[in-house]
Formats: sequence, structure tokens, C-alpha cells
Amino acid sequence: MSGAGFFDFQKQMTSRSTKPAVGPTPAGEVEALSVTQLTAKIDRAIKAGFPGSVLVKGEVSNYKAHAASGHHYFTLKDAGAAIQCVMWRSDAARLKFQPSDGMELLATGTVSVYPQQGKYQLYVTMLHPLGQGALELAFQQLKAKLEAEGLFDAASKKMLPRFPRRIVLLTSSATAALQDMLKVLRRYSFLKLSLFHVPVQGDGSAAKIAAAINLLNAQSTTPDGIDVILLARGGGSLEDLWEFNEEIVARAIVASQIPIVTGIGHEVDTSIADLAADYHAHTPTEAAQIIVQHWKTAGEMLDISALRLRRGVRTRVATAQQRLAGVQRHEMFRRPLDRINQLRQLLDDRHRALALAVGQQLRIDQRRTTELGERLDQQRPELLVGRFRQKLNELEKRLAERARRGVRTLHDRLQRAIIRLGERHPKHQIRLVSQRLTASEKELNRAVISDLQKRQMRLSGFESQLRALGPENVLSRGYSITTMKKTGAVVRSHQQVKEGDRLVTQFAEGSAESVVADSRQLPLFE
Amino acid sequence: MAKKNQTPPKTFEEALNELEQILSEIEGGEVGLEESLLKYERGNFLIQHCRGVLNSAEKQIEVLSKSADGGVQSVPLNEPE
Repeated sequence: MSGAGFFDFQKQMTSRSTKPAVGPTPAGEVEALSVTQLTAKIDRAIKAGFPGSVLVKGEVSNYKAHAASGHHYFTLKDAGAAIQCVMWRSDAARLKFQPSDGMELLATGTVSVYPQQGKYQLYVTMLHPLGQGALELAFQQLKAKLEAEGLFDAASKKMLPRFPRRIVLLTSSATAALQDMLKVLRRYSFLKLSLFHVPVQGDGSAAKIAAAINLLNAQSTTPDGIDVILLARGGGSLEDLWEFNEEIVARAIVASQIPIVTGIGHEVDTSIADLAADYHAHTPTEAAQIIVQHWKTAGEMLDISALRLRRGVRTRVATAQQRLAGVQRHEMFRRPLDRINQLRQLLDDRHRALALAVGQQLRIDQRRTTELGERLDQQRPELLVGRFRQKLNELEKRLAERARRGVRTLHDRLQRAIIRLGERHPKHQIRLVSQRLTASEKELNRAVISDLQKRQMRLSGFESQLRALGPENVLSRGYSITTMKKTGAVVRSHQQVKEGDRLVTQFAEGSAESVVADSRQLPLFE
Repeated sequence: MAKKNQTPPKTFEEALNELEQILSEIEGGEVGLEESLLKYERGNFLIQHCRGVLNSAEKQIEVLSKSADGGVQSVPLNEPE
């Protein structure tokens, strides 16, 4: 059907509305259309009116991506009208950004009818954001998404090593960025520098960068581990740097165990990779400088450390000397042996106590062992038999002994009885009497003799006594005995005599006769 | 001073950390005299070791790339200079 047909249709609608009271004619000069036929006519009319694609601008609303089919459905509207839009999955996949409600978009597509629901729709093949570039919008959207996921969290960023030695430069070997970094890093001859070449521009670069990061991480388990990765690229347009804004790069950076420093573009550029990196410098040169910042002062730091070390030890030694001096003044050092002797004594005491305790226990144990051994020994069968035998012998012996003793006793008693009987015999009596007689005889003799002797002894005593008392003895001492011649009486007093009496004076030897001349009594001793 | 039996830490950073630890211990006076002398010896060794690192020179820059078996291979960088 041609464009004219479309307007014919409008004409028909108008003509119908002008005659509402007229009922349908049974014969019908106008043939009736089915709904399908009508809709097909409409579709043909629209396609004829909008051949090829149209460019429409409007605000997005009710944007939905169908989960199962992957097709996107939304409405484009402005103040006066709205149109349903469909974007097939294959077209939607090419979108760099995510359309959302309220967004002003420029849609490219074709208008067509959706017969089942009797509506016309715009089948969108491409969307562009209005006001800002699609890339910029894509950047903002990815940033917001990853930020919400926490990929840029400061807390999850890895610490940069202060002194990295093994550094991998992840960039293109052809770029100025590499030379910029080498210029800085070459000053440190001890750094182990490696270049991992990746394309930094053009489709597919992002995937290669991500793959390189993953590969380096897989390799970093080797002893010669990589300390840090420098991901760098020189300046360029947003399109040039776009590969660093891809999600796959951001995710690889966040997943990397090796810290990553980025230096991408110029001062003003900040890529998604920068946001995801553990540290982001604004240029490749700055990235290299950040990496070596501590190395720059390492030598100086060592000098200071050496100084501190020497001074510290000197101070420590001085302190020790001071303390030593203090301690030396202490009594313990003036009399050092006191403490040692004390300890020695304590040790001896303990030793003794220990030995005692151990010895005691040992002795107890030994004794018990011996005891038990002996007791056990005594229970030996042969010993028991021996003991019984011995006991038996003993009993035998005792029995024999007792029997012998019994016989002997009887014998003894018999003997004694015999003796006693013998003693009763008359001849014994006679002998006894005669014996006694003899004894008496002997005794008598002895008594007589003894009496005789006694008498003799007394006699000789008297004799000597008599001799002492006898005149001879007195005479010998000078005394004399005067007797009356006539009577022989001993003159004891002058009264006995008178003048003219004759006296005989006996001397110890011989005698003389004298006559009394005077009989006066004169005291002999005055 | 005997330098034997001294093993250097794996990394420069570890060496510096150990050195810093030794310094703070000696300066803090927490360690005994003999120990501080031992630590002084160790500290000197670490300083010498670190100076050795700073004075060492690496070979050429190497170029890494993915090898056929999926690993990383390296070759020296041929620079245009």
C-alpha cells in the first residue's frame, strides 16, 4: 500500500464518524477488514511513511532490561508525546553506558507496528547520550557501579612496599611512558626491572592488560617475587585511554596480589584503572618516582642508623659502667663470699636433707626387701621339711632325754634308799657310838692338855710377877731389909726398936749386924 | 667482630625493619649489655648488607612475555640507544 492509502484510511475514519445514525447496510458497499488485515495495512502505511531509520531524541522512562531474553524495553517521551522502544539484545550489548530513567537520549531505529498489542514501536539499534559523550557517560556509570561494589575502597588497597626491588613495567614497549619511567628508575642500579609489553590502545587491549596482570600474579609465587607492578600509559584522548576504563582491567587490578601503581595519561586524567589501583600517580614519571621515593633516602637512612647504633651502644656501655661502679660499692662486692657461703651452706643443708631422706627411704626399702626375701626363703619346701625334721629330732631327743632322766631319777632314789637303809644297820650304830666315843676322848684329852697349858702359863706369869715383887729385886735397887736379930721380925717402924737392940740388915748381897743407937722417928722424905 | 653466622634478611625492607628494632632496643636500654653488643654487631652487619644492596648493579632490563606453556618468559631488552 502507498502513502496515499494511509490518508485514505483517515478519510474513511472521518467519513464514518459523520454518519453515526446510519446502521450497517446488509449488502455493504464497503467490504469489512479483519483486525489483522487492518493492522497489516497500518504497518505498511507506517513503513511507507518512515522508510529507513529515524533519529529521535527524548527522555528515557520505564527502562527495563529483560533478564531472560536480554532485550531492553523503555519509553522515550517529551512534553507532548511518548513512544514505546525496544532494543534487541545484540544491539544492547554494544552499549558502553547503561541507559536509565530520566536520561536524555538520542535513539537510532525504525518505527514499526507490534500487531499483537496494536501499537507502534521504535526498534532502537543505537543509543547516544545527549549533553555528554557516551564514553564519558559510560565512565561515570562504571565508576558508580564499581564504587558501589567497594572496588575502590581505601581499606582494600594494598600497601606499597617501601623498598621494592623487583619491578614490572606493564606498558607498551613503544611508548614514551616506558622511557619516562626508565629515566627515573635507571638511577637505582640495584632495581630488577622487567618490561611486560601490552598494547595500551585499541579494542582488546583491556583484556590483554587484565590477562597480563593475572599472569604476573600467577608467576609471583616464585622466590624472585614481583614487588610491584607499574601500569602506565602516556597521555591521549578519552577514546585513546578508554581501555583503562574497562571493567575487566579494574577487576584484574583489584584481584592482584601484587601491589599495582598506575600512571596513566596526563595530570587531569583519572581512569577506572587509576581508581582501582593501590596507588595512582598522574603520569608514568610520577609513578616511577613514587616507587623509588624511599630508595632515594635509603643511603642517608643507613648513615643515620649507623650513627644511632654507635651512639646507642656507647650510651648503653656507659650506663652499664655506671651501674657497675654503683654495684661495686655495694656490700655484696666488698664481702662477696658472704652470699656465696650462704648459698653454699644452703646447698649443703639441702643436700644433706635430701641424702637423708633418700637414704632413709632406701634403708626402709632394703629392710623390707630383705625381710620379705627372708620370709619367702623360709617358706621354701626343703627348708620346711628340714625344720620339721629338726623339730622331730629335737622332740625325739627330748623324749629320750626325759626317759633317761626318769630312769636316772629312779636309780638315784633307789641308791639313796639303799644308802639310807644301810645307815640304819646296827653295825653302823656301833661304829657311830664308838666314833663319838673316840671323839669325846680326843676332846677330853685336848681339854686337859689345854687346861694344863693354861695353868702353866699362869704359873709362869705369877713367877715373873713374884720375881718383880720379891726382895731381891728391891734389894738390888739399893733397899735393904732390917730384921730383929732376936725375932727375925722385919723392922718397919722405929717404934719397934729401942736402943741397944740388935738388928740384922740384909742387903742385896750379904748382910750386916748393927745396934740401934737412937730410935727417933725422922721423916724419911721431907 | 665476627661476621660469620650472620644471615641477611630476605628483603631490604626486612633488614631495615630489623635494624630499626635493634636501634629502638638499644636506645631504649631494654637489653642487657652483652645482648646490646650482639645487637650492635648485628646492626652493623645489617647496615653493611644494605649498603651492599644499594651498591649492587642489576643486569639488563628483561622483557617478559607469555610463554607457550602459559608461563612467563624473559629475554633481555634490546634497546635502540
